[in-house]
Amino acid sequence: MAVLPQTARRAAGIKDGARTTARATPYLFVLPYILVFLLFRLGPSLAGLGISLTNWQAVGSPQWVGLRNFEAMLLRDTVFGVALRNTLVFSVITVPVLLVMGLMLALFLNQRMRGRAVGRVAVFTPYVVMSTVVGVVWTWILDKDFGLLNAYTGVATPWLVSERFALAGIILATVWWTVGYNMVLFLAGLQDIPEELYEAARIDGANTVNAFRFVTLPMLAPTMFVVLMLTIINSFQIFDQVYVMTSGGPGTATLTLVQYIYTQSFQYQKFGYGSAIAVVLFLILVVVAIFQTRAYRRGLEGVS
Amino acid sequence: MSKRTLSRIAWYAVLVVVIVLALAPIAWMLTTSLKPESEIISTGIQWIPQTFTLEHFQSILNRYPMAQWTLNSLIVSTAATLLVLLLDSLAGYAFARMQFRGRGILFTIILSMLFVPIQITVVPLFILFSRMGLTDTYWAMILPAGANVTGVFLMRQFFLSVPAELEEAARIDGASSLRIWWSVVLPLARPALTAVAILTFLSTWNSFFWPLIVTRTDAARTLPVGIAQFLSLRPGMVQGQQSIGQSMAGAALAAFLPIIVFVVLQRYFIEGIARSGIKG
Amino acid sequence: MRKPILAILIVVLSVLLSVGVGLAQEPVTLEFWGGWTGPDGTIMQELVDEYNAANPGVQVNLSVQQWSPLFDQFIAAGSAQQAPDIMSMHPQEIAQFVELGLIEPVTELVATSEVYTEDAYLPKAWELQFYNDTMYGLPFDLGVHGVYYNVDLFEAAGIEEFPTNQEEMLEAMRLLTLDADGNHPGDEGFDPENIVQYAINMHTNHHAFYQWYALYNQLGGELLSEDGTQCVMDTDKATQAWQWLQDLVYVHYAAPQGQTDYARDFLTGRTAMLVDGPWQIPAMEAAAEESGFNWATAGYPTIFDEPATWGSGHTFTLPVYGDPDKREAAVDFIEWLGSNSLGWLASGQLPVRHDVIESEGYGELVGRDAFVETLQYQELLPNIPKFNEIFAANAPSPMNVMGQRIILENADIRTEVEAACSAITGILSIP
Repeated sequence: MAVLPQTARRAAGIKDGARTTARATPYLFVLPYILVFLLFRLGPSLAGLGISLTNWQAVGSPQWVGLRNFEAMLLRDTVFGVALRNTLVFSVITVPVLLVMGLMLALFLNQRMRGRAVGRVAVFTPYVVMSTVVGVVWTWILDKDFGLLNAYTGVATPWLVSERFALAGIILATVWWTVGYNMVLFLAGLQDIPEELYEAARIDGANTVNAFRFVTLPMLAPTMFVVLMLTIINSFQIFDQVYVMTSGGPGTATLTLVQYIYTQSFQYQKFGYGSAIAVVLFLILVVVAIFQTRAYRRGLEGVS
Repeated sequence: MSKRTLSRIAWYAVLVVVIVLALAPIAWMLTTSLKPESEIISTGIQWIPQTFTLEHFQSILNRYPMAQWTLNSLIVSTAATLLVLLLDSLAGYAFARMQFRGRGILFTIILSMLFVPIQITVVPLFILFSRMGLTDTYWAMILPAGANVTGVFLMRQFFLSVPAELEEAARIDGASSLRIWWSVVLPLARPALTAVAILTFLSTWNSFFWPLIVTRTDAARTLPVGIAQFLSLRPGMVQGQQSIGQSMAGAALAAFLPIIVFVVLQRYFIEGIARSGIKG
Repeated sequence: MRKPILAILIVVLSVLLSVGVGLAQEPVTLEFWGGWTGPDGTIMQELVDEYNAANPGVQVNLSVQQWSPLFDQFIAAGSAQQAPDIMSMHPQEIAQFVELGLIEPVTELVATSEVYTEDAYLPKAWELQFYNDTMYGLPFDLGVHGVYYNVDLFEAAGIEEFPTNQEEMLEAMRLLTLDADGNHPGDEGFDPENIVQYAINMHTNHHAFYQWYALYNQLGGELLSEDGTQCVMDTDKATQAWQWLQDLVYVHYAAPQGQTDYARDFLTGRTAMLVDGPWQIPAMEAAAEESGFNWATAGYPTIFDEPATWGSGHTFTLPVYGDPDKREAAVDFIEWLGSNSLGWLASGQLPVRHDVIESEGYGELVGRDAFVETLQYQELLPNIPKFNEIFAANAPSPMNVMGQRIILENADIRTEVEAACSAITGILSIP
């Protein structure tokens, strides 16, 4: 990798004649993106970090409060604790389900059978429907009195109107909506596994289960890593469905971290406090990513 | 019956179950939208409406500018996608092929933003666009979408994976870097561009949190925001009568376009999405 | 060779700027913001269209979205020293925006206006517009909880007079609740698992605590201390008020548990009564026209000592950062709205002007009187700067959490009341 760009640069330098142009070229290429990135991503992120250290209602000058927002959040705000717990529960259930179901669907629809393309399209279709539509439709499907789900089960489960079931309702809708995405990522991973490996395994006398264990799983590890990372990031940031289906209720039963950020910043207009919660969410994601990357590296070492 | 036939039958049985489960909610939405309100809340499961009616579609289109919301969503998503393709193919190419000071640190900073929840940026962005007088405009949604991270990452990964011989040849022929990028690199990058285009379009099309905050009128309001604000079935979200039929008709209208586009272009969609995961 | 960089910079910046400046205007354009996302939004748009047609020199642009994001935009715009020309809100929200420095007194306007004069308005409507003895809002309408009832079901149950006190109410509700075999609660063989008709609805959203607030006021309870720094809820009275609502569901079986669509259930005869605001009137009128639905209204019942009912309303305010050159036009438009508010009544909202109430057009409307008669007992939530943190709808505010836990989870009332009260004091104690 290191060789090519250098050759390229040398070639460019020679042909363009002017050294300065050659040196400026890479910057010109990245500049448009960097400008937009600075203005609309990095800049606002850093500003958000700054706002989290203030007490600010957007009007007037921000009042510096140091880490007091974080102190209040972690030590006194019981609602924050509830939001954190709900987010963890949601993720701990959703992530494995989405991973296992996505993988199973991918294995299933990777079989050389007629009609598998139809299956793939069907499973992926929910994902192209926008999340707020998913929320509206599932609110109706989960209706306690006239909903489709309760009509089939024959039990009037109070899906979105009880603390016990509300989060489960959101999880159902989310799994339905996103499992197709994971399936497609796994399908791609499966198709990258060379057929020879399976043949070799077969010659060694491995049955289907063993082939899965010793060929598919290890070869799928990189895909698994990506899918896991994406699913975790998305799970921790769940908002749309919650906003549309329950707004965090009943009580605080489906209040997630992002919904709580929305509440504090945009319903209570406490922008400093809302930003502080967002910073904590960021820290959580970083910690998860570090742990996961470590585990992944260790796993790779174990395999090789 | 042979074991082979049996397993075939089993496979198809599972396939049917999978397809039904995946599509049932969409079908139910459509059925509901075509039933008169009295039939909607009759108990018992009616997959085929006894009386077909288009009244919900009529009243929803009369009451809310769904076409305008859809158009807004299309414009914003298309513009954002074009912007991202331009910026990210330039930047991704530079990060993969060119050597320059600060490349490593710059790329690391960009990637680290993957973990920064966009909610942290929303307040400052909001103030920024207010000061520019650009709230409730397409720009407020297009520009932040241009700062997307995955696109740059995917483009870079792609350029790292293809050999540079063609570019070398062009360079020896005396083409400038920009020219090489345009006439040699971009045509080569079609698969990666497709992937980035689909991902960007889907995520902008689906984007909700930021447009919810930054739009105010139908002139800029996108479809997800319109749906959530006016068609929510959650009690208390919309004051006054909530009609399930109307909400489902609105949902069906909003779901129709992307589903059609997806079914027609499904090969590109699935390949595009798949590509986003391979080179992790 | 920096030129290309500069060129790109200039292009990007000029695009940004040109879009920002490109708001060309020939007639005076007025920005008018409101949160009417229901059918009332359509009616307001019609009024605005009517005004625009009659005043070619002025173009009023109505922006409608849910109140919460609307206020966010108002505040953000304010931070950039911008604002709409007319901002709508509820009277109980005035304090917040005064404290944020975003709306200004209407004292001068009222001193010279021929439309907004004290004697033209119901006293209640007028007095709600004050904060710290200064008038900030111009009243447009009011809304209170009342009761819609299904006349046919009342007749079938043999109830002739609408119940007026707790005892009569309980008996009426018993008669209006039916299981599949036609038994009432308390009858032998009554099956609470198989109820086909309930007497009344029970809110599972923020309107649950709105109802509680009325009942708590019927008991003479106070929520906040005089200086607004702490919760002074009387636990006994608070519990008693909640108990009434909770028992309707879990003891008397008079209201369904976990109800989600109150209007639908009432219109289909699943409940015989509907407690809600006047904004349901259009739906009732439509049902009466379509299927002959036989409905009538009554004031919110006095279950305890004194009459009281939850209420709110819509108010116009003048933002501090509104364009001063457009102020005159804005005032002209609000005055026009005020004196042409009869059209607005189609939304169900209640009139606040004497001349409207006495007009022929109002006399032809049905169902409003019962609401209007109780306007004098209207109790608004306290108009305090931290209103949202305590009372926000569709948010985990202490009041909302208390209500949902008590109504949906059958939670222990005393515990919830105490938890809410200490949460409120916690919020108020932070400067």
